[in-house]
Amino acid sequence: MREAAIVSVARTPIGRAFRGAFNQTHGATMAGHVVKNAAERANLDPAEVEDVIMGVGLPEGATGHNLGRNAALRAGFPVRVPGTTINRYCASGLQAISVGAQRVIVDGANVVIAGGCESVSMVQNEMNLKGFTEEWLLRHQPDVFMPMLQTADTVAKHYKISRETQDEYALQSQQRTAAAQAAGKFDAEIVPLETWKYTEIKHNGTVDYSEQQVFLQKDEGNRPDTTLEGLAQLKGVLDPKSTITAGNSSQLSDGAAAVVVMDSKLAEKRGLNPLGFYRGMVVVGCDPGEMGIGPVFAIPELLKRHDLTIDDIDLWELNEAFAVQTIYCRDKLGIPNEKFNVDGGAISIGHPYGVSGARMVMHALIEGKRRKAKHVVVTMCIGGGMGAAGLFEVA
Amino acid sequence: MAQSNASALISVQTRDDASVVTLNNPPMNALSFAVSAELLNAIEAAEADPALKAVIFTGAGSNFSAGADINDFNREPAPEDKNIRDVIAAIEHGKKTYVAAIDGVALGGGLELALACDYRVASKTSKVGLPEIKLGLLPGAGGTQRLPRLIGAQAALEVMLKGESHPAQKAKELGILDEVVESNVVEAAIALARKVAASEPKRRISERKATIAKGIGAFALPFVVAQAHKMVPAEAKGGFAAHKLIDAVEAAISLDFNRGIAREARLFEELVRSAPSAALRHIFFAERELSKIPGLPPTEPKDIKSAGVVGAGTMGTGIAITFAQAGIPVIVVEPKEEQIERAKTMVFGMFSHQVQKGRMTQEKAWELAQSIEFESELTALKDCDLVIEAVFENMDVKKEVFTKLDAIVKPAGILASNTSTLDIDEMAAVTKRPAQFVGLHFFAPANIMKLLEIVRGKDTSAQTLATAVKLGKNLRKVAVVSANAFGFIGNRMVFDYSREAVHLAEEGVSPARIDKVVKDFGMAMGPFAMFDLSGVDVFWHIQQGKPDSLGRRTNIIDRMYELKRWGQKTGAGFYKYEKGNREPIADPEIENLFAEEAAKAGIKPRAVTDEEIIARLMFALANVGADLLQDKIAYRPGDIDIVYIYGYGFPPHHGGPMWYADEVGLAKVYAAVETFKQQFGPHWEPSALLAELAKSGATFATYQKKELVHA
Repeated sequence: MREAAIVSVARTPIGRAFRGAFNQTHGATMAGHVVKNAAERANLDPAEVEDVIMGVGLPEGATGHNLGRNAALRAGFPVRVPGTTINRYCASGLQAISVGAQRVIVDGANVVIAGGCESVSMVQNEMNLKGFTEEWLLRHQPDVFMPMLQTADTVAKHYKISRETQDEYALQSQQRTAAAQAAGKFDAEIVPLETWKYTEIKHNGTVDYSEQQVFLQKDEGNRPDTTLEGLAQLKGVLDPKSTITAGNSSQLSDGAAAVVVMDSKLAEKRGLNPLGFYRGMVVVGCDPGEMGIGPVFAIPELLKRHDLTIDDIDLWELNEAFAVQTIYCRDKLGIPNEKFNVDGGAISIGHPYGVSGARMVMHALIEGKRRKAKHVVVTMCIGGGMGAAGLFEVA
Repeated sequence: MAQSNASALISVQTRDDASVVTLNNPPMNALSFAVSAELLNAIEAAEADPALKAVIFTGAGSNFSAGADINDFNREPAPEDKNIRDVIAAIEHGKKTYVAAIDGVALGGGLELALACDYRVASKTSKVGLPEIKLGLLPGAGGTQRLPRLIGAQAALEVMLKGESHPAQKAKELGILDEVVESNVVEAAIALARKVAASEPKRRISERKATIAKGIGAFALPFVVAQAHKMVPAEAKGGFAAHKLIDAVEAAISLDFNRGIAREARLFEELVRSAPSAALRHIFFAERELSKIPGLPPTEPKDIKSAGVVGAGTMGTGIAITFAQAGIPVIVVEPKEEQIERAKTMVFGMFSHQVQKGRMTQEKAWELAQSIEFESELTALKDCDLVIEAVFENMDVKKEVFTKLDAIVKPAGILASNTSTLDIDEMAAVTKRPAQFVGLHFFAPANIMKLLEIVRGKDTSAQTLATAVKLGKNLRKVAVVSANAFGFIGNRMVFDYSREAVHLAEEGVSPARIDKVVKDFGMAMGPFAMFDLSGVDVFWHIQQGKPDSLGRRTNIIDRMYELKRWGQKTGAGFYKYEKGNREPIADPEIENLFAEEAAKAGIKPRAVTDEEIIARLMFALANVGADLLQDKIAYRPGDIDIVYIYGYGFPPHHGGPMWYADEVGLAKVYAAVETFKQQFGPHWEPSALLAELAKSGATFATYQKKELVHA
């Protein structure tokens, strides 16, 4: 059977939504940038790319219009290179890589570029809400439209996970990211992006704007100076009494990530050193109102399929949509904390929805190699009530 | 009626419930930092006065305002400096009714000020426009955001991309102006403000939504914007500002007004700092400098009221048309009857073309055509204020003409030669009036090409020179003064440029490739297409006269002359041509000829990069240009740049050959010239001035400033 190797990776630094570096950077700009750089890092002739697959959480507006195709063109690839856009909400980037691997294994494609892109800044508050809901679903599956914060609050109450536990986890995430960033552990993934951001200037009740050129070189969302006391002072977002705060939730973010997926024989022939290999992915649905616990259904199914146990996995990446669901999934499955989100996650790094899956894949493979890991699992909860888990083998 | 003279730059009058603010910053009421600061004070005072309902802006001296002071773009503003954007922001936040009362031109920032007002009234003879694109900029004070909201993006794009000014009536039809009146524009503005006081006293353009055009939905935006991008030149070929301007208009539709203003400001800053805009602004200032002749004693130029032209060839006829168009009656002397017939056909063809294009009425065309008189005898020229010869380019022929003219033309008359290369002083010496002798080198076709080289002979008087400069202006030419030296400025330089083009072809680069690389650089035409147009035989004749300066290595031009490959006129030159078609077709035969002649001369084919092609051609121009400055043949680097842009199709966005050398860096240019000298021989001797500037880290631009201070 053919085997899909990941031979190069590239991502933008993650920008803070609305006030951050990429607050008016178009999806095609970000996606084109990472696709181009991933291709260059693998010494590809752009014409040999058989598909560009972009996962997007909110595939409309600045990340709409078949972003995969536009990313290929924006990367300067010849018009013959096709592209597609994939949505599985927060697992879109992982799903894109999975589809990319399938294109290699099943369809016989030799080279595919897959990843994800999200511009929360440009899309989330401009979403087209006309016809967003449907009468039957609203009556019979209303939770599928439930805001994510609400689902997190439900999980906290249902599984009795305290505010203190959540804040402690958030602190761990921030500290791990701060240490990893200081040690340059994200550098190999990141290709800095020069762009223009806008800032608000408020005076006498009016708001003006100005634009500044920025050159973002590292993730800008993490707060290394986070303390438990600081976290404890934050109020619940939806309701002051809720345990779900801005400090123990993932951040709204912008960015893009892409990996080159190649037939492993071709990679070998070219003397490329793959980072790892795709082994498989499982997605399982769950109650939409408790979407955060999705991984507890997907992971056992994935391990069973590959005849592995929790202990066989050397490194775990779970998206960290909220501390509450992260803790629940980790402890429910008995995943050791020292192998789990070792350099932080979406709480500290940020959560550009469609990007996170691809970001975790690249980081798991790079960090896995550093730790001489064999098997790594990338997993996440998904809006609408699902869990996804992907298995990769470190080269 | 109360009057308070706030300062010399603006004046403020109170007319009952209206404050009339008059710009008074001659000559064009530029909206300098100082003017802006005073306007802000006037606005603040008006807003604070409860008795006032309206503020009227107008301009003194038959102009509204020609916009920002371009000099302000070249310096970093101090934090306390107030500019036109601050004034416009104050109007935007104002509660009074603002009306622009335009009498004269409202251009650039001037029109943007008017667009910030609630209403715009203009006198019939006024003109409005946003010409920033001509300086490689975009309207940076809200114009790109307000105009699409006022008249639709499609029309706004056309107005701003062309940068033309529009007569008041046309501007009203476009929707830019609300009212056009015969006169008393301030009264009309006050009346309008009172009329709308009850119905719609505030009408901010910023609060409107930009449309594309009437009846076209928002879905068409990507198509319209993409079409606009396709229509303008590529970014690297002079379209840099145009593409940014289109970006700004796209933002007017897709972003909220305040975000759009921020986008426009950013794009404007990018353009101000861009090389193409710096080059275009350089040309703008260089053109202004042209009429300043260093060392010329003050003198009163004479009025040229009648002119004579000797020779009714293409050049003579073109010159005659130029005079006629400027309203100067002209007599053309030509002995050959059939040549006169040809010339008449050319004159009528040209004027009827103008009528067809709607540029003039039939009556006007007839009147102008009639102002050209054809005669067969030189004696017809006796009363002319100025006589130009445009006969065959041969010293003996020209001397004979001037000997005769000197005896015929009235003593006060000026004699001029249209020679492109020959010695003016030698011609002047055959006359008794060398002080009234000057070179007037027109470029073919003379009635179209903007460039005029004025050649100053050793005895040319200050008055004659000043008269020629003034005449150049009247003829609507860009007139550059050159000293009397072989080829003057333009042709002296083109010889070195041509030499390098031929050398490159001798080294095995095809003429078609050289031309393509040169056109990609932005030149209107490649060197070989140019040879074919002007005639290889002409080149051969010049080579006969001046073989050494051409750095001749092979007999290729002789071969072509013998083979009658003279260019377009014989159907083959460096290219071949189909009958009746001027489109050059690459010809393998010419490559064979080059290869044969190169082999005979022992020149081996070599691999040449596109970069080397540009370096050899452009640095040859800069190197000889530096010699011309050193020898005081050209006064200023900017003069040389103007000659190349207007006479030889040099791309304006590179600013001319001297500006381009600055852009590349003189150290780099000098090093390349040194290398070429080692590689190709002594004809690449670096100019002493180039060496000096390069070694001291100077530029031609700084040299120009220094020289002008001395002048």
